[in-house]
Amino acid sequence: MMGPTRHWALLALAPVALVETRVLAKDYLTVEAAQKLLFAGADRFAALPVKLDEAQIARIKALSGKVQRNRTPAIWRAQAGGKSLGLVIVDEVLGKHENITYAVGVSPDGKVVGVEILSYREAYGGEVRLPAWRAQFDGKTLASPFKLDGDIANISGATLSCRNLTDGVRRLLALASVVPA
Amino acid sequence: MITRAQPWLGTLVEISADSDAAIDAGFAAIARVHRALNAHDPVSELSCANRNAPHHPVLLSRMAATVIGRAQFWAALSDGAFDASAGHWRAVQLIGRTLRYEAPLALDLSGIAKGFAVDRAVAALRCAGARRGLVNAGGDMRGFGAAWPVALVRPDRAPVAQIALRDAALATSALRPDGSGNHLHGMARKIVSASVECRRTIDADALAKIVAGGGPRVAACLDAVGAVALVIGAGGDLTPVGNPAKLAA
Repeated sequence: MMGPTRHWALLALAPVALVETRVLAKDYLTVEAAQKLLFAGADRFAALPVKLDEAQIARIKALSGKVQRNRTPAIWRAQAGGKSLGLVIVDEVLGKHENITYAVGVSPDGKVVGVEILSYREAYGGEVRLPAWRAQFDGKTLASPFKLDGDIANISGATLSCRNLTDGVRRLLALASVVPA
Repeated sequence: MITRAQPWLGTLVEISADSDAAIDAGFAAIARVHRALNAHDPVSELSCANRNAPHHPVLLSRMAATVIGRAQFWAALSDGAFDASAGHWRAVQLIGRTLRYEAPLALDLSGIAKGFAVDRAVAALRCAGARRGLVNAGGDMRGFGAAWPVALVRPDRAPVAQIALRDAALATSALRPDGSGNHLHGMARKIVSASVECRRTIDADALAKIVAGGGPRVAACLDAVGAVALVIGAGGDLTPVGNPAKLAA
């Protein structure tokens, strides 16, 4: 049951004045942390040096419909007692507003074990004139013009698309299938 | 506090909580909703129901029945301003868990499933022992156990306000920055974005679309669950909507 002291965040807004454009940067996981989350049972992640040739690039395109631009992708083999549990591939996708680094775990039979975002960069901001209703708050405490930084990491209001990421995962599945087992 | 993000429900879902185990449970809950209710996946329960319900009654899972039931509740209360069937909500018949379409139609729950998934993830976090947490599915979010700072931004990504979300849900419906290709066909002309705060994200999600539509039923819909809203106008003006005295029962 909600009591009469219910806190309504939307009625206790801190308005925002002139804010410059800035990039919101979020670092969620290191590569090592993501590897352990994707293959919790692994005791070793062996780097798998790969240099893709033209035939492999073409095969990835045929399988996924996407172009693999990085010829030397970052791949590790997850191992437990010398046995392979699958691959971890770290990749980056660039969108109109966002830039995402992510890790995909791929099982030996070519299935996605999991996807974890390592870091996320997104441009926010622009010039905002003082809201007209600001006057009613005059005399009360106004927060200083806020910056989208570590303090305010949660955002509501702009469309976030992860189509680039979905395409990226499909491309990495194709990549995993052309890498020597 | 740990924060992780994964792509689900066509957006980036971010979960903050005390432990990786709790976060894993939260993402697992999101994944279950994604797999069952994704209209773009031909093998999802929803796609299956969409194929069969025009021809014969379909027995739904508890999850699908809950979400479709809530979608129908908001369609009726808003007189179709929220409508997961694109204009045919009166032809959707849900009795208990049995679904039947009385006209050719296909439900698309993307306007409400994200909110539902956030609610399920929050329940999973609590179940896994988390004392505080936040689940944010592309701007539809719910927090508990702490005052979570949230920035409201315009569709063009300019920040307009900051709030502290405490044991509550928030969802925003926004016009696309160029104003075209908009999925909110009923969006009122002078509204570029509507944010709704209430207890459950499933309701905030549906209500954000209803408030953005700006029809005559907005106040009644908000009052039904004790919700409040903030509307961002085309001129950058912010207007609070809803009666904070009507607290959720």
